[in-house]
Amino acid sequence: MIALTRLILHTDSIKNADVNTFKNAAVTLSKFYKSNYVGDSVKVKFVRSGQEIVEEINNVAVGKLITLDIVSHGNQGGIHIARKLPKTERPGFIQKNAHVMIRRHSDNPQTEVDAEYMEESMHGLYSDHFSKLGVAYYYNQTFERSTDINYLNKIEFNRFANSSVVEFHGCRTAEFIPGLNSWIKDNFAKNFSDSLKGKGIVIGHITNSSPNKHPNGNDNDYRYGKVRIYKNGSMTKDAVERWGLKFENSSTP
Amino acid sequence: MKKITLVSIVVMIVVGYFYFFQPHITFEEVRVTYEPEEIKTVYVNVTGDPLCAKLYILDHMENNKPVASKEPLFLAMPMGVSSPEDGSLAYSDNIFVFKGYRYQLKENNKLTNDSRDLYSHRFDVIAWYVITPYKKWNVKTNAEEINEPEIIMEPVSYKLDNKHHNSSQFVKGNYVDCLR
Repeated sequence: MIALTRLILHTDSIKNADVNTFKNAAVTLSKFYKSNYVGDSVKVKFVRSGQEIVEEINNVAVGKLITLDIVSHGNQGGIHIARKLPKTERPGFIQKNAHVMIRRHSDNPQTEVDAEYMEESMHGLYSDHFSKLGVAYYYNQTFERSTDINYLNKIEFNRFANSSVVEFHGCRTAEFIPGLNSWIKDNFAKNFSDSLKGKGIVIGHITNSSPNKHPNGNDNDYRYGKVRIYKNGSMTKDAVERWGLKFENSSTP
Repeated sequence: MKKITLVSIVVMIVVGYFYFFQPHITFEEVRVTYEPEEIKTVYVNVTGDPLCAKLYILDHMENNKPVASKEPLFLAMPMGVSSPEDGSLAYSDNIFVFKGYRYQLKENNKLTNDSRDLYSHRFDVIAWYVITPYKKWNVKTNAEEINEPEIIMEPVSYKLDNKHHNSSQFVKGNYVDCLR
């Protein structure tokens, strides 16, 4: 009989400090699962791209993936993985202008000079092509030669067990922006839940997260802060504090 | 009737475009200090985005621990020099002191020729040092072990040799303020 799998993925980043932080949070989760779910197979894996995330999920036996934790950067569009370009590149006309205009009303408006060059390339897992485009324009990053980007429709959702728990520890994957999310595109956690259907719950942060401010004093734990929870594509909890919440089968049972 | 509807739609799109995207407004960054100044910052471990700023101006000390303000510093390093945010000293609560030049953001309205000054987080770095003792990442190759920090007393610093500090010599990183 094949054991249930608890898959913990921690991702690459531009900054080494973030890579180390993600790894530490993944090890924290792994220790917890190992001591609380004896007999389950706990797998911790460093992944460098959306393609690798999809491969790791699709490699699990059908119906055996009981928890999926992804410790990474994140945003509305998905699990965001970026890398420094060896050499800066000029963005196209539309991207350059879109980048400046999208940031126009932010606390950090961009100058024409700021948008002159792209410094990073994208490699993450996004809801779909449109979501990826939004992320690329917002951050002025290139994706054109990144063959390792992937989308939700490449995940085989039959790998998940019934009553599974998916938790995105990165930022803003469940953020709701009126207008954008109500009319144009749902956030990543909602889109993931749509595909997962009734098999399990999806937990995503709605703000930025810092692991070193956890109320339990642990520097390596993202399970606090405001989250949204989805099941079968519907929101079951809105903007609730993650710290103290309990879910069957999860890292906080 | 069809013509009126079409014209109304075009007008609405144009008005919406100007209202939301304000193509007539441009921003530029200009130096506000001609003499270099020193700024004390604290490394904040916010991991929202790959481009999150990590250094925030030190507000005060509380029980011997630094408390960051909400003001980030967007470092512009001399060409070819890497930022201390990228190295092994990039650890939560380490205090970095930077010497260099502050900037201001100028908002220019092409239609009215008005301009107004806004706060800029850009800082051209000509020197920096980390306050001792500080924490340094001790990276374990074992995937199951937490990377605990080492406490280091050895001073680390950087100083630009070149005496010319023109703006064009400094490269600003692509930053996002993730604490807002």
